[in-house]
Amino acid sequence: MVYQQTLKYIKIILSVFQHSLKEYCKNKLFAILIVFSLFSIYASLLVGIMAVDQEFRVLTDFGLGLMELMAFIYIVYMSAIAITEEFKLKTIYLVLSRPVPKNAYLLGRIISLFVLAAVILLFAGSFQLILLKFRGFAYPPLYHKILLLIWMKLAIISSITIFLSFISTSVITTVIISTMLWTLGHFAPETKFLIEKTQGISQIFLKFSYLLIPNFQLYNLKDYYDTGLNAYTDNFKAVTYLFAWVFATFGFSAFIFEKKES
Amino acid sequence: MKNEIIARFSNVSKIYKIKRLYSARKSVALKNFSFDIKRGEIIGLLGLNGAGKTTIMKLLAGLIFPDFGEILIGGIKPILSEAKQKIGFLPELPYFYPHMTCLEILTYYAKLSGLKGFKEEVNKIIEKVGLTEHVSKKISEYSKGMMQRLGLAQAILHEPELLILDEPVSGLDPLAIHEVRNLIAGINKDGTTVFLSSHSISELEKICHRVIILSRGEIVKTVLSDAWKIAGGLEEIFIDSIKGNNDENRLITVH
Amino acid sequence: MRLNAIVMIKRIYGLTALSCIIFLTVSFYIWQNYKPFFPPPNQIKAFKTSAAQDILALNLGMRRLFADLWFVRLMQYYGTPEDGVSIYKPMTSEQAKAYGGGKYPDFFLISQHIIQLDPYFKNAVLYSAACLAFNLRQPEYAIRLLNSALEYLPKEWKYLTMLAAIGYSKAENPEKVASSFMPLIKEADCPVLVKQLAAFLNKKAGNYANAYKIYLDIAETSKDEYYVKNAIKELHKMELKNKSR
Repeated sequence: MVYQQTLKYIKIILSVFQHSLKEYCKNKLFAILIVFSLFSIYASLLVGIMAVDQEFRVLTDFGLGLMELMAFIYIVYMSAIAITEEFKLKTIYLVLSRPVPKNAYLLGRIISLFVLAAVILLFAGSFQLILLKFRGFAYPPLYHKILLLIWMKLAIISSITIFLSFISTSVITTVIISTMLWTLGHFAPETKFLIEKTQGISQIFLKFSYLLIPNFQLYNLKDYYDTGLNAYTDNFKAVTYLFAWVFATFGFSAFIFEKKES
Repeated sequence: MKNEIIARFSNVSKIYKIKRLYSARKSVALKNFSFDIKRGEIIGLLGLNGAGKTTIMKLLAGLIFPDFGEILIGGIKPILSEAKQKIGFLPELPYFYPHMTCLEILTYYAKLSGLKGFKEEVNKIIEKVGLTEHVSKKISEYSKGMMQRLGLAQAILHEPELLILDEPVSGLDPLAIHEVRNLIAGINKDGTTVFLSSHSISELEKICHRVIILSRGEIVKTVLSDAWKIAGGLEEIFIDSIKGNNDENRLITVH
Repeated sequence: MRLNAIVMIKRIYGLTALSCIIFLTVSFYIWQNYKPFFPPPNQIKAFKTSAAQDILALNLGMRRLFADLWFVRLMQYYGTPEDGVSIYKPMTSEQAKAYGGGKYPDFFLISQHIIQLDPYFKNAVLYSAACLAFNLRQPEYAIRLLNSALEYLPKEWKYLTMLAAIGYSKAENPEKVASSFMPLIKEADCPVLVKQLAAFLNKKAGNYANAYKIYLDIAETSKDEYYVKNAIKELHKMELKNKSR
């Protein structure tokens, strides 16, 4: 009985996941962003040539930076409208009037966004590798790990954005807050520095913020992958942190979604 | 079996809170609403705009929750999956994903409803509602009548025990109305209980076994088909009931 | 049916409570154990109007990329003619001698800015130190730059080698300078400017064989046209000289 129910639950998640992924990939914005990111990566050739002997480093850095930025823009926007658009267009009625547990539906949507992020990164990453090969360069060190960590960053911000979409008043607000969290998340080492320098209420406030803002520097291997130091991201910390954020935001989102009326 | 109660409303009240900047205005959509839906019936819900018809439909479909009272479908709360398995819902304006085709949409809903062997079911339903010619067209190309037929198709896809239709003939031309009416009658003949709302008296007269007249969130009168046949029509009964229930202190409900 | 509803409610609240506990535990653990890899922001001194760009670099987590941009700017800055030299007229012999060894007052500041953004950008450090010490004749700035880079990579042998080379240069020992460059230029990612310097110093010290090998390497591997042309020119000179002997 439990096995059958679990199987049914998983089938629902898979159905929502398949449908959502198709929807995201058919979106015109997806096509525009893919083309734009590929064009930008290609255009980074110019900067690479200007860098002369540092061409490999510049090409790799630019490519990774641009693909992360493009993927971030698309994933945040899609996460912001994932559920809210359904409510706005009222297509949610015909889904929730079916025997579909709300948390299963939510999980299907979240997983589809994670897979979408992976698709974007794999596509752009392959293009960059072809470009590097074309310029006569080898496979950058730890490239696969860098992409994986970028994907983890995107997974965290996507989960946060979905949660924010339940509590904010508009898509623009959600996107703005997510963007702020993205930038603050990269500011984590600086926040830690400020905590050490401040006292009193400011310090308490900063400690609280530090706890509640995701630390994206944990996943920023693209900034220090060839330093030669044994300081690459601790896999255990990265995975645990990702799990904690995704699980927490999913839990809170599911809570609000259960209570939400259509 | 015929008198078995398939759905029950027990003293249900629903209050909408319309949020303002610093406060919220309360609007009572339903007050102490109680009635039963018996198996095999076609029950109509008749009322003016803002009477609370869509609120009742959504409560039954588990899309919104009552503030007071209890709703049960086969002894189960509508928000639970087991209850939703028993119902099929058609909202007032069915919204579909415009880039999808009829086949894709129905396949998606079939999977969500947990149907096994859904390919055959989907093809059968498409034929039943008369959309075979338009199977490969995108929803954005559909007319109102076609959308309504598709809406009915998704509602009956998983052979529900109770069909909830919110204004199924609203905005349709006479031919389409006739087709939809026949479809509903055919579905009821197969054993499905139908609960539909409308503000078109003539439509309810032609198809329902029983009509509930609603005004400002309260049941004013329940009329059996024999009663309006004897009285020469439902219209007089409806107007008398509504005028009799005129209460100037009540806020107009919103749905 | 009441039991189902109660179970469902318990599940929702239970899931939310569990989410809170896991999240707070893990966040606290990460907070306690996280050690920033880059220097604090007060170590980045804005260069002219770079403050907004620096903040953007930090906020987007793209210190390395912005350091690359600044390195490109540094090369462009060093590649543009100096004050008093027109790009439309051929240089005088004095100007040609001084070319590459002129004022470039912002060179050290830009180099320093690159290190502040990305303290692990080794090639930029070597390039800048070599330019400052041997072209711009500002060895003190070169030493300062290398010392600040060594704070983050204290065991980096390339920096220590460059310091040694500068030391020998100050002691006016060109042979030692030339030999100290040799381990550096064996590295595949050695800046071409350092290779060119090594070739020039070897030639100055009379090690023509070494100089020839280095110029050949530059001609074959470098992507900078200027250095390749110069290397080919030097190779011809050395071949002619060899033939005339």
